[in-house]
Amino acid sequence: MAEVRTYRRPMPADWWTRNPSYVVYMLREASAVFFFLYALVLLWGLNALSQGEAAFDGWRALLATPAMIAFHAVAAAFALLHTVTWFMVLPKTAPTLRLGGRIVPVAAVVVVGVGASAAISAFIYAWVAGILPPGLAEAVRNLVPPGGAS
Amino acid sequence: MTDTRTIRIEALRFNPETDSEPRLQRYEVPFTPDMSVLQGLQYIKDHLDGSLTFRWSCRMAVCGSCGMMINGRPHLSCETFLRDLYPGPVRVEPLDHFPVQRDLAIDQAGFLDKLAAIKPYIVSAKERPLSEGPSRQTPAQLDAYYQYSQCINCLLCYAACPQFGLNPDFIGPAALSLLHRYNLDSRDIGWSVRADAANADVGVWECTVVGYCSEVCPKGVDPMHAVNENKVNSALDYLGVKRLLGGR
Amino acid sequence: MRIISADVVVIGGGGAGLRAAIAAAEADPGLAIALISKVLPMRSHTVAAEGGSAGVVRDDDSLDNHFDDTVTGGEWLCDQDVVDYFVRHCTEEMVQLERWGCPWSRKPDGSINVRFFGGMKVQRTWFAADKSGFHILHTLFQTSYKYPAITRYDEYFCADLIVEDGRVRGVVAIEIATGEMVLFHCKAAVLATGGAGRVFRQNTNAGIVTGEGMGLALRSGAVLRDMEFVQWHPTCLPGTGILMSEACRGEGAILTNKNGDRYLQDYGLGPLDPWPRAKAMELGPRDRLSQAFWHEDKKGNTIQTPHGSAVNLDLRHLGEKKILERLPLITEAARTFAGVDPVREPIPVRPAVHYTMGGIATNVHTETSISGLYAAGECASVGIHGANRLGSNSLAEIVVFGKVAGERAAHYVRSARPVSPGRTERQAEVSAARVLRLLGNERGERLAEIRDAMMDAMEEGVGLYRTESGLKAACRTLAELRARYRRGIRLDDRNRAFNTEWLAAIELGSMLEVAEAMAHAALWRRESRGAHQRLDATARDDRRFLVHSIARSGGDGAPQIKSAPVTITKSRPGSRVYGGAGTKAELT
Repeated sequence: MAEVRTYRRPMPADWWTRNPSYVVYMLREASAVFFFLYALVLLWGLNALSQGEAAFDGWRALLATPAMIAFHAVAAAFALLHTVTWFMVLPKTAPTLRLGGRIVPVAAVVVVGVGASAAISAFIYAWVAGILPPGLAEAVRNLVPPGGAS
Repeated sequence: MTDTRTIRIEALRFNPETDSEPRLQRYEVPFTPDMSVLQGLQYIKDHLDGSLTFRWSCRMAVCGSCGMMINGRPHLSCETFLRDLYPGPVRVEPLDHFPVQRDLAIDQAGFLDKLAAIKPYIVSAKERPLSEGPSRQTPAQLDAYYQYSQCINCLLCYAACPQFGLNPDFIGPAALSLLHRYNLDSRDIGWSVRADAANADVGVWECTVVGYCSEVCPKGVDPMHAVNENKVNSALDYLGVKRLLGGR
Repeated sequence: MRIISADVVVIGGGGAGLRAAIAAAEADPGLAIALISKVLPMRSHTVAAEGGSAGVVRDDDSLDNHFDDTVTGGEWLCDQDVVDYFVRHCTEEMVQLERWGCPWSRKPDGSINVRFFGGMKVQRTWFAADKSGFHILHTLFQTSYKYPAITRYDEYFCADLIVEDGRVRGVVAIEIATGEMVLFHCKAAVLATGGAGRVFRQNTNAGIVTGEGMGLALRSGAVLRDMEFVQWHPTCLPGTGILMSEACRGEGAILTNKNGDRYLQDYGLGPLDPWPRAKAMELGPRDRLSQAFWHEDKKGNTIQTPHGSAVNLDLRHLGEKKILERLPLITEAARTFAGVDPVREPIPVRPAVHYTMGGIATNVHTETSISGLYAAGECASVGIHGANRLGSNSLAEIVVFGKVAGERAAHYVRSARPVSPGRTERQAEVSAARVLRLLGNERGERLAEIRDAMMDAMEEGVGLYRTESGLKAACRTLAELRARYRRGIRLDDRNRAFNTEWLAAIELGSMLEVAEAMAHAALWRRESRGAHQRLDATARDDRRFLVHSIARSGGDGAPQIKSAPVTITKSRPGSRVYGGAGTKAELT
């Protein structure tokens, strides 16, 4: 049999820069790096906390440096990107979501998902910062008594 | 018709008998507003250069022959119109990630082997004679797999899949969609027949959810969904749950 | 030359070829079956069939109904013994496709749904939305993977048949990727190469529908039958010829002229009410509808488009839901290729060449006049279509007779005597040399010039309505074009590997011969019947022409046309009546 000669084009290292869909994909993958780094920062803080007040204050002071603020800003942006893209991918990775026999559109999943994430994040922030509205704070106190289980 | 304009088409050329590397060749093509990229290429072949090589057949987006990269994105050339690409130039190249046989024609043999690997036919629990008439399949049961039966094997999804580019052995979006199509068919015994293909190293786990395959599919098949639902199946299989469910 | 040995070679990977290969493998799993196709099987033109396939399944239908619709539709030029076999086997083949996974559209209870087609007394068309051919082809192709006896040779172009002492001995092919010549030794061969619609300019056919199976058979000594009968489908997009399925009308679409009138009632298809009703108005047969267009055009009642005149195919009253559910492909095609949304606007349509009713003459067993050579599908004339094919009979034909061909070929192999391969190989070398010569022409015309001139001659002289002078002119032009072709075509591409220009040049040789057979048969038939309409002989003439035409190769000269008897068993020729009184039909 005569051999079929073919040309195999190499896959260039920058293949992902050539298409917006690939760029978004790579950014989503890259967001994992920032989650990892952010987890390290948190672990560092926990470790500092176990070493006493001075160490913890030192860690907190470090967080206020411009470099760390910049890092957190970038990490937050990636977290947002990851959240949005995660919900965009959700309908493709889970069994088909249907409501009343009709397939739920991706846009609806993203809006509801990102909306819920934002609401939960805002709630946790307000709770920790102690700025929950009085009614809500009361409800939370009833659900989670101070000092844990009695 | 009076409404004729000219557009430049730049085609990737590769002749396996004489070339070691592909090159680009430019053609100036007169076109009318109803002309597709495919018709532009046919004009070149008829009037300018009979050696330009590309596949085509039905010219109505159902046979799956004429897929190519048009300005860097995978399209069926029969349903991509020159008017939408004006003033050009229009760059046409063979589908990404496939070996090039000649000019715009890619080597499709790998895909055909992958199709064999997923057992693309009904495997039923018991053979019933034809005299018993057709099986019943409700519209809902039909709907469960119908989308995945729409694949025309045009291979645009492979050109969209960087994982296939990085690993040519990846069974890939279209073949895995067809695997899912048969697994979901109420007449088929389902998962157990095709578990090996899905579970393999080059099966569903090679997919990293880029999702571009589903974007470029000209027939509205959602290969990414097919592949990723089968990650769930593959995980359940690994945990032994699939066997408890009777292999479906 | 590479040599491959097979028991059965199937040429063509469309519906008929795949069905034949599967049938042969089921008949004898020990056979070596080679399936040769110039494209990947799923690219074959079966893929573009839309509306559906006939098979009696409703309680109010019967085999007699299907028989009558077919024979009347074919204006009594059908071989009735063959039609009888055909209608008795359609439904079983539809069920077989169902078993193999074809996603037929269903009723709410899960049973098969059927729709109306033109010229049918009762709904009989099994359908998978409007992608029936696509689903049938992919079902057959994917099912073929189950049979290890079948070895596929994808993208092998069949260049010649080797026939010795009236028996088929081999097939010479070109491996397209390399350009290498390959000889398949075989004991039996099945031609399943499809039609020849591409000899005309405006047609619904894929680029591969170039009739070279017919050309191969003709050159090898087999005969073509009823080549003058070419079907114009009445509803195609102007310019491209892209098909707007008959299923549109089966689902209730109407045809109107530029004044908004349903003009079909003026052409023996009315009255309008009650509507819809079977075999009337838009549910009339294809030949009558295409001819009605021609008259409307002459009267100046058509709308003008950049690609010629047209009438309106109006689906709007069906509603978006039904249109999208039942006719998704034509909706998409109308939007993409005509820029028209059928949900909101009527689609401009006109007739275009759709189907070659004639073909390689076979009997009911698909046997040609060459021992061991079988033919099935559009390339064949098994005798069921007569002067006008009934819509949805062709998808049924490819499976019913594809199966017969495969089984017969498998059976024939058992009785075939061994022969010395040397003689076959010497013949194959001669064939290969002839084919390779095309590559070397230093002088000659461009391929497209001769091809375009052929298409023009066919449109001009062998169109919907024909005259003696027009046909004679077409015959002269085609003879000249064949002479020019023999003098030489100069190819830009002299390479062996994937040389599609070379393949197109080989195809053109066959196309010219097939076109010539069509023109000469049409000239011979001095009457009007079904799809063959003569302005100089407007009546049907059963006394002289209730016979098939037979075209035999005249070598480099014109084909010889003779007649052959038609088999009539139970339906005596009568008048072909559509429209008239009838009850309102329920469209399901």
